[in-house]
Amino acid sequence: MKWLLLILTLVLIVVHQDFWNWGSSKPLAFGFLPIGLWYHALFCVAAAILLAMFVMFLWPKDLESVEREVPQDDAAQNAGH
Amino acid sequence: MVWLPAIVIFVYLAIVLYIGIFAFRRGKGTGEDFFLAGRSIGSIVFFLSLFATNMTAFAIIGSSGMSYRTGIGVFGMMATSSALVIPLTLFFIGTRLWALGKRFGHMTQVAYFRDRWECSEIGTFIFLLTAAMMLPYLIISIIGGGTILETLTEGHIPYAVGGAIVALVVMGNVFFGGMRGAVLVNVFQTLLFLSFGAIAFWAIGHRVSFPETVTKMLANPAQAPLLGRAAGPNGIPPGIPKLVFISYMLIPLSSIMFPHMSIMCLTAKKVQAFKKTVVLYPLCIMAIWLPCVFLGGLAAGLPPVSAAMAGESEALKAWAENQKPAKPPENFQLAVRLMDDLAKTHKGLELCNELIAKKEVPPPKEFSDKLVPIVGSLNGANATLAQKQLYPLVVRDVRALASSNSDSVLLMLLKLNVWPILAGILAAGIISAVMGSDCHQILALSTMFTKDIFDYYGGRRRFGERGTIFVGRTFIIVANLLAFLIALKRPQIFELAVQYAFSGFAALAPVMIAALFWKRSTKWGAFAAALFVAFCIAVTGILEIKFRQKVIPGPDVIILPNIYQWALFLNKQGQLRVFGMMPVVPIVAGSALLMYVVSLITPPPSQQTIDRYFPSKEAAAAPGMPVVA
Repeated sequence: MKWLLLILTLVLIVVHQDFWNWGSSKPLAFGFLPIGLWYHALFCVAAAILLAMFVMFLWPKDLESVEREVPQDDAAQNAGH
Repeated sequence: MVWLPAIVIFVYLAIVLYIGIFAFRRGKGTGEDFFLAGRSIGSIVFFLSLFATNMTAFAIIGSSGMSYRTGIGVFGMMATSSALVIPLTLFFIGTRLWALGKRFGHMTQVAYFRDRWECSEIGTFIFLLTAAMMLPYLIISIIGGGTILETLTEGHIPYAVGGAIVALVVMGNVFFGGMRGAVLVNVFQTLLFLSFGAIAFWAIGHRVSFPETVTKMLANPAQAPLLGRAAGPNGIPPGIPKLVFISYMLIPLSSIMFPHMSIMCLTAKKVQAFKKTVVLYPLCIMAIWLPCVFLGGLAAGLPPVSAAMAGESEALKAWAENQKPAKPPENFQLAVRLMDDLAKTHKGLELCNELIAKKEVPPPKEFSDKLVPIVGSLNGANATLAQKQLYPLVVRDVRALASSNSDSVLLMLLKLNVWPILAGILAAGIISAVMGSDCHQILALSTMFTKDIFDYYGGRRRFGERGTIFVGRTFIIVANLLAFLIALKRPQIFELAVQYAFSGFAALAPVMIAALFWKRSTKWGAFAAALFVAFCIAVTGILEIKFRQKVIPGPDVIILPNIYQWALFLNKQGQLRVFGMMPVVPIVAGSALLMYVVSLITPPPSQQTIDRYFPSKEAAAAPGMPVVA
């Protein structure tokens, strides 16, 4: 899964450089939104899906059990405004 | 009616101040509570606050202004590259920073670097470098706040008073509430400016037909390029070069290296708070940027908006006051050229004489209502051949003057098209974007100074926890006052400095990545990389200022003509390019290379330190000893 996510990330980086849309504005979405905008709006949705996959499959679970190793300073507990 | 938007903003500012005082009452009086809200922020509040921390006024004002000047390609270049890269850095770096902060009690990046590489000086050097790159942001925020209040009230609230009000409210919120105050106010701010785009889109869409305007723009060869990324005829609009578009992918690496962002990562109660943040981040970027960029580009196809922006430009205002000033402002020759051309027509001459007699340009709507029919008649059915020849020149100059004032495009769209109270709500959204990040920037600087300098060099031992918080609060007042005094003169140099800061912070990312993921990285590698970054940022600034052209846009300026003409040059907008790319590319590459090579040839930290930061699998399996990298 790690490799699949890496490949998907690289694919997204490549499709972000949409040179094929460089000089064009059409087709327009909803009759007014140029392709340079709606294509990248879809890119944002794809990025959110990719990141959801990162969270599902590559989440660093070991970090969830972190505990403090350095005791809080006594002075810090007794101080006030 | 002029005061209605201002009243809405004042209500908003009062709420911000109240939240700060409310947070003060809930404070526990410890340094960790004041600077990090006691590491107790829940997931939804964490996401909303972290988002507000990273969104500056540029997301609303700058994005729409840039879209007006260069076209809608700015969305792909700046917003969607961030939508992918920033959440990835939060996922891989932010979560690790959170864990290390919780384990070892670090409150800043500097504390982590010092401990990780067993070196005091590396921390002090990175503190100085990051503080120098952060200070311009405070100044820019006050300039932004003052300008918005002045523009919205048509000068009834002078710039200096507006800037002072924004500075005082930010200072009050952070002084009393610390991180908790900043975080709570961020929740309110994020909701406000997330809804900004939708409200602006809906409100303006009611008055302006989007399909009709876009169709007209596509039929006009001078405007059609604004709906894509290619350059227009004669380089106007300039378009976005492909190499610049690609190299911009590195800029969002800066986000996690900004002290206010990395400190914000430490405030989460649980690491799970990052889950929602990384998934929602791209969607929220889209929600803010997409309508702002679209509306900014669309405004170029609305002559009344361009005319109003030109009327509000510094150059035209200066021309109306004095046609031959001793020190003409930038773009003054554009105003002279436009008024000379207009004076060739009967109605145009009347307008010129009116401006000269009154010594001021009328309010935007009034000026726009006068200018648009005059320019339109030059291309009308009854126009003479001479007038038809004059038309494209006048349109070009109006657009050039409007472009010099492009940051006002959204406010102008709102002023001309929606009710004043809605303009006030929307302007409050813009102010909230300014203040959301400003609160965190000033708090981050205060945290760094207090913890990394005052505490580290013995202040806390001598003066205790109360002394630490007192120093933190005093720093907030002094830094804000200093920033306000500098902002009074509206120095443009800091706008440039902020641009360099993005490259600088992005180029420090390899240092952080090496610290977190590479056992063999050394303090000498970090020193070499940080020194290289500081040197490159200084050189970039010097070259851009030294070779900056008086007339922009002008021709490209070749800096090294005898070596290879396109190796180093300033483009038509006066920005440095290296082989056509942004300077961030060679700076990040150089920083990473130095970090790697110098680390290999210098001794690593002690085994004890490496074991602390990279515990073995057996040790990591024990409770409280996770693998963090």
